[in-house]
Amino acid sequence: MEFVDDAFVLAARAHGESGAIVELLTAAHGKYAAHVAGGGSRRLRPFLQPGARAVVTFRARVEGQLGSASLEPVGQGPAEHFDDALALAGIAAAAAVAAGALPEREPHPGAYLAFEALTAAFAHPEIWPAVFVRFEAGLLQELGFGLDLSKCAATGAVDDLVYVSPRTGRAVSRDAGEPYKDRLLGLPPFLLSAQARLEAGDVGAGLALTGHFLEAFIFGPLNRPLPPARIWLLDRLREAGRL
Amino acid sequence: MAASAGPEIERLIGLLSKLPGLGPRSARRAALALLKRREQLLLPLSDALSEAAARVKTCQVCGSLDTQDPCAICADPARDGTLICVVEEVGALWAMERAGAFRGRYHVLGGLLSALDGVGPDALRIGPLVSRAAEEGVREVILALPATVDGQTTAHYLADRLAGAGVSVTMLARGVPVGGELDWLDDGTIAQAMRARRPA
Repeated sequence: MEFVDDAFVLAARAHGESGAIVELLTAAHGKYAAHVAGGGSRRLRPFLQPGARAVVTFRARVEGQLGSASLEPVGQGPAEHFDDALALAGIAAAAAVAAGALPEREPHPGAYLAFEALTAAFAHPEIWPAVFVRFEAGLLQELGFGLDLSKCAATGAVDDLVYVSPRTGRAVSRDAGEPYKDRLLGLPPFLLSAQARLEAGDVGAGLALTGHFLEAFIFGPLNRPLPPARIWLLDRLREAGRL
Repeated sequence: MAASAGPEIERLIGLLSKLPGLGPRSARRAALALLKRREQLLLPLSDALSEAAARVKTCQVCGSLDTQDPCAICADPARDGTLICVVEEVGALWAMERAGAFRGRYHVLGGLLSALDGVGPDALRIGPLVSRAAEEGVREVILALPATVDGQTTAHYLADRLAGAGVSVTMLARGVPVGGELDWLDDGTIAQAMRARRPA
């Protein structure tokens, strides 16, 4: 099999004398691992960073084989954010979450688009943490565990949705959720509308929300903890007063 | 694998193949070269390895490797003790020394923070660096770390940790390498070089 596709590098590790095994999130083919000949070389190694964008040519003799890939770098990649510690933590966390959550060789174009939108948002320090939350919510949706934020699960009301049920992922209105508010997850307004103002505490609530469902539905069943990179990101955001 | 080789040769090949840059095939070639040139290569190498294993130690001050502790650089009074250059590994220290562009002292971190690989601050020699930076007379800490996501994440983390030490914290410049032609450079390097431009 052979294909050419747009891709983001999620992770790379040295393999053999000069190669590397690279995990890629491709636009139309999903997550693929591939051997990149010369991936450990001076020319290619600096490029094989989480978040780097490339045009990938993937080849495998038979289906199911690891396969090899050649990569043509596109754009600046993560180098654009080398001066921004928070953005670097965000890139590492996004790559780790995508690498850990997405199954291999299953097309998830929505995940690619969400990752692409997030990488574009890193240039805007004031909004990207909220975009990161939307990226994780998008991943959940893409994997079949999307949050249902259209109406209140209890009353059917479409206004004043401020909670999410930790069991079902469905929104709950303020009135209906009041008696159970200690057990419900907070629903930040920016998840309901892209035009909503970002208030203090919204990003923290959003990350707690998506983190809960990633853990419960994706990483937990795989017997894996949430990636350390995501925990680090939360620590960095907390230290910077951005949660 | 060299199925006909004896267990001793297999063991030699196996150990050589664990060296960086050597896979099983190169390790087999290296083993063969050693065995063919027993007097000129194999025995001297064996002696050198034994001697290195017995004598080389880690400098308690900077984390470099030397036969003495403190290492020759830390013990050299001609070195500028007001400057500390932080490097990832001893290989980077050797590269800096080869360049001859720095006459201060070093601090070897022993790796980089890596969120993807789960390497945290406790796994690196960060505490000793903060202590050294707080010593009297130190005026600048230079973070000579790789221009990678992990390298720059580590640099930012160190800059934060050193903020209270009362020293100037600087990073190496990024941009066009000597002999580099723009046509062959990646977009990231060109953009970094453009941002770091200076008056001609």
